[in-house]
Amino acid sequence: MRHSVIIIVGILVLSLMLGACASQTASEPAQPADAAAEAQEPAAAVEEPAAVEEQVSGPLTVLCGPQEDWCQAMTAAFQDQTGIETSYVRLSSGEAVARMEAEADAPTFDVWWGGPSDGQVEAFTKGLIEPYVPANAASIPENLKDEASGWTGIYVGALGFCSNQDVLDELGVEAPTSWDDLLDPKLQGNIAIADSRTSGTAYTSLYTLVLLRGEDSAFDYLKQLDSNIFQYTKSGSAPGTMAASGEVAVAIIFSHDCVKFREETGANLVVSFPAEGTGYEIGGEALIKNAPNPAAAKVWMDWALTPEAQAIAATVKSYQVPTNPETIVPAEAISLSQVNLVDYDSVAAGEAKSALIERYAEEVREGAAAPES
Amino acid sequence: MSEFIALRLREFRRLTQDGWLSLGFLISILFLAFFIIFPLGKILSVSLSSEAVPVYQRLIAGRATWQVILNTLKMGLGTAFAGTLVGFLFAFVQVKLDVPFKKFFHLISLLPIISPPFAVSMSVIVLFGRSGLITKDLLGLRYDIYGLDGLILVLTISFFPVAYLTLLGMMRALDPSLEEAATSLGAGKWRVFRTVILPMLVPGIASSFLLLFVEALADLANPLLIGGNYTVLASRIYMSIIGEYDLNAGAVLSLILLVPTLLIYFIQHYWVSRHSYVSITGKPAGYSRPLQSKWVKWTLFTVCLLIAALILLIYGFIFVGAIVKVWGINYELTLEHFRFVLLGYGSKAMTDTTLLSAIATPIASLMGILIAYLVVRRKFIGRNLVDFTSVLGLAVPGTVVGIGFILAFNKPILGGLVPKLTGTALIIILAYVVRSIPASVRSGVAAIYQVDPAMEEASSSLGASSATTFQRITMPLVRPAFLTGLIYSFTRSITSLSAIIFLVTPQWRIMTTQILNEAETGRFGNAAAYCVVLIAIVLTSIGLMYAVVGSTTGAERMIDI
Amino acid sequence: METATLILENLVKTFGRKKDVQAVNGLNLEIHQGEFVTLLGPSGCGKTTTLRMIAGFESPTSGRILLEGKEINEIPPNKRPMAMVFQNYALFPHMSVFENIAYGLKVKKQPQDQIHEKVEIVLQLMNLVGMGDRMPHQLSGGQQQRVALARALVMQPKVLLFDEPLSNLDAKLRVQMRAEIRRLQQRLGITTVYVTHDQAEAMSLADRIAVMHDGQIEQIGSPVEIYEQPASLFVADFIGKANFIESMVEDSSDDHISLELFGNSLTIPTGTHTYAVNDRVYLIIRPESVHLSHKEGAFSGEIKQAVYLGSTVEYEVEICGQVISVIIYDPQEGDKFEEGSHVSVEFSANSFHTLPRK
Repeated sequence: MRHSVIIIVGILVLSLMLGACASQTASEPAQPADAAAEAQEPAAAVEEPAAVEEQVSGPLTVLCGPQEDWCQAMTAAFQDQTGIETSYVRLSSGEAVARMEAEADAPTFDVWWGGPSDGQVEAFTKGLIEPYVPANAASIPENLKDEASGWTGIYVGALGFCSNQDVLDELGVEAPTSWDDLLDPKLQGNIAIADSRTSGTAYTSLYTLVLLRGEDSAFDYLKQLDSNIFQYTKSGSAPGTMAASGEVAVAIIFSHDCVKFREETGANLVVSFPAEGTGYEIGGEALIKNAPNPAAAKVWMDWALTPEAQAIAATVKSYQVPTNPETIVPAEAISLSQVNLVDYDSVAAGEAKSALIERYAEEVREGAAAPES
Repeated sequence: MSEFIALRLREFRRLTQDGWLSLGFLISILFLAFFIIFPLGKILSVSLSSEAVPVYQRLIAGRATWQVILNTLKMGLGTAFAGTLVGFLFAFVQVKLDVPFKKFFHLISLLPIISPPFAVSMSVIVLFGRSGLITKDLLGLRYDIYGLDGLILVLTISFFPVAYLTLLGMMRALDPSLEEAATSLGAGKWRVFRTVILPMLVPGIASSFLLLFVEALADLANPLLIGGNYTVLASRIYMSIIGEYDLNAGAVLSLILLVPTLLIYFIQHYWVSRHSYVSITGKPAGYSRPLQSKWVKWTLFTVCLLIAALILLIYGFIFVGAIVKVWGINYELTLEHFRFVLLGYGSKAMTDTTLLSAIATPIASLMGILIAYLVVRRKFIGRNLVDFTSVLGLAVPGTVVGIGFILAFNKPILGGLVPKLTGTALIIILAYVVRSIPASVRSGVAAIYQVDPAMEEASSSLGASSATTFQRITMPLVRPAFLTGLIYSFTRSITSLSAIIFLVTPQWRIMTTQILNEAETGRFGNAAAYCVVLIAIVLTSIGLMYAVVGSTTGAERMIDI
Repeated sequence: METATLILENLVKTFGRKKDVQAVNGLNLEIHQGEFVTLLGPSGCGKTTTLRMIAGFESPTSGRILLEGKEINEIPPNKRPMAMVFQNYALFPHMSVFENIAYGLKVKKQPQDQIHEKVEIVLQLMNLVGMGDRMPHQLSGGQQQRVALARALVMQPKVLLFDEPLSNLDAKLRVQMRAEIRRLQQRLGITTVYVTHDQAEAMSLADRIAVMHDGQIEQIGSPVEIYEQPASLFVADFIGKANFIESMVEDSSDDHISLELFGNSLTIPTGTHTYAVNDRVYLIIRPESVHLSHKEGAFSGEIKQAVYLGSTVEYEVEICGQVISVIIYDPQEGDKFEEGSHVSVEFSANSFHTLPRK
């Protein structure tokens, strides 16, 4: 019995050490590396992260917006290439901003990658973003970045309707081609959309409607639409799952997600767009203020804009349109020229967000609790 | 007064004579104070502070909160009722009927205990949802399984084992001579059941009902997945932290959830189980004649069989989900999900979770047995308080524990003596320990009661110190219960979600939160594979433990959820 | 007179939150080296509590316990040089006979070979040779008891404590074990305190018996003293059977007193109590000291009840309104009487003992 006591005490001590170590590495900023990286930057013209890598060390913690598999692929590739130990947590836009706000004194994350630009502007207005212009930002088109509020676009995607053709056939409805089509009583309880409070995707749709119809009319529309909604999901792409499995007829998600679902599940999904105009999302990256490891974050941000890095998207069936014009655009990606896009000003959208969300919570969701599914 | 102090001093001196045993006691008590009382105290102080007032105003004014509370109550009552009924049925069939497949029924009822939180929900959605295999493909219905009906179904399946085991023990311990006496006085079978058997089982039924109600209220995993837009308190708390990071709202809602769950838990613990008319020693007090009436017998058997088949279907289907391409849509066989979990990205979660649970388990079990020994064998002021506190870790809903931890350990305390713990592996281990200690204590208490105090006195009279006596006499005698407690702690830790969901970090991945992530983004295949691997890990550890212990002595006493 | 080995001084023990249960109520006792003292009394009299206080498992509410002149109140039980034999043996079920007996020696960290030697000696002493490897559940009750005793003896304690060790054995075994315990104790000369409620056990084992009642010692003395000169009604009634005849002192002098007995006078030697004339007393006489016959005698009575038990016959006889128990051993023809018949009653004069009556 004495032996087991020793073993147990040993495990106790070991675990305490482990725990202490874990907390140590998480909070230690790479201070000496910082200075060295600063010195290197002006010298480097071409953005080869490899040149800086010796001085910059991990760990790097990424706040990742898109789907898990893309996050995994990116972090794995980055780690392979630079040797910087990288991990991520996937949070949707609302959750991300909430988390950053709560941790403002001592952030866990270094960089927010793949968050919707309006979310990143919101974060900036709350003082959570440190503006940083990544090395390759010059290649990125003007309307897909904003130096002032510190975000640079990495992908673009258009909001659309993702419909399960089989279910549509059962209901005897055509794939919707306008926002008004969604109000069709035949679609009652057959539409899925995310909750705008937690999902950037759903906020994009909300703001798009506000741009198209004016604020009051947009809210009237949403209240009407409510009776056709089967579920308000927590994550932005979950409606797509429902459409793919046939639980609903129509999901309001980004069109690239719809393509992804179609590829992955083999379900009979069709993409359509509202003729009046639809919004789009620019996924951007931004440096978090007071990040534990800003040097590594910057290395990431530089790297993420390279064509090679952006090409990783296609390998995990993420068909957003990459922002670097030199990146090869996959065939499955939907060309934005086909779609009637509204003039979506991310900055304005970001600034208007809190007020609109509050009204949304009150009127559309009737002060109901945000969903969990 | 001075006599009072003298007595306390003597008690204290007695305790210190215990050598390293008293060090163990001290550590355990400090642990309880620091990691259970302190976080709960924080919740109380935040939820009753001035900053919380606007939250109360907002919540009370909006209809939503009342709706949520109502939803929670309906879910709790529904689950308690259905679960107790099913548990009663299964127990009755085990004890009173002479039918085949009894072993199978018994094993089926134990299945939910070792399964991870989302497994049943996912399976039910794919089987009975709108595109469900059964509902749509077989029956042609488009049934909305999300919401209250789905929740009650899933929660009933998940928790009826509690009712089953409680009532099983009670029914087995019923004295058959009571029935015989009633019969010899002229009472017919139904009257005997109604007037003799049922009243004796009332404490067990009440106990099960209350326990199930509390478990349903505290559950987070299932409302998240199958609740849909049916919000309950646990999921509302989750939203306020993860979605809004509003700790004040989280604390207030935790208080609202805490009060009824604690109240009911303690009513069950202290009042109902004290009024038990039947001694629960786990040993059958003789065998009563099985029910003869063929009509009743086979009807009950059929219902039981159908329910067992349903459970088997649900769990079996999870395995199916793990090996097909897209669960619910594409049934092509594949191993990619398992590859993902075992070799790919998921493997870190697997090893991390197993490691952290494995570390937490011996700590919780050792502290549990020390506290149990302290509570049973030593008299000192505050003994009841220690007993009470040791059970709190489980009586309090997991989400509340999680929030308490965040509030308490978000910043360094005691001037940096204790660093900021949130974001570390240590805090996850601590959460596991806090949730596992209650079961260890309860089983420890039960086991120590069965050790004749004369043994320990004999050892003492032969010159052994308390520590030596504990080590050489007490521990060997409670070893079976202790080891079974280890398995239970491990299982509980590795399948827990609600306590650690607010505490996960990028560096330490926990399987249950990964399952949630995969499930809510629609990657049910990966989620199912995780579930299968989790169940495999649990079964392996159980097998390992039983190989070591050899026998199953005390195993029945262990499942005291 | 050697100094006493174990002294209990004004021991008091109260239980209960309101301190209302007085288990031991001011107990004083001196036990000498090598003496065998029994604590005898009905259940609830405090004898076990007293024993446990000596052992250290209960701490006295007040009072002192001294071992060889030193106060041991504060010394924990495992540090007292005493060993206890328990009522249900308390053998460690997961250890063999050998390991059970060796336990205390192992705790003392004695070297292996010494332990071996000592255990072997004690196994021989207790007639348990060859049983070292057996497990407790494989032994009979008597064997278990002997192992328990062996375990205590091997420690060579200064005081040996017994807590009703024979009550779980059947009658014949009990008598056997009793003799063995007595024999061993005398041979080894260990000071012993033995708790029992069985007076036959106490009488056969003890050098001195302490009769306890309601937390106090009513009388302490040799078996003969206790039996022939009970100091109180309780002791008289508890030990053996006794008749209590109500009487009054008629005349008293230095060496004789006269008492009224069923209308006649009785003169007996003065005992331990001094009385004044007209004091009320109980005359105590044992049933076996009362003789019945058909002859005419001083006292006559009527047989109320007759119970024939083979080796004895017991009668309830009424004389002058009082009922007396009579036992006749080895009854002959002339000793058998019918219920309802009249008999003459004779008392052996020297068999009377007096106690004050209120």
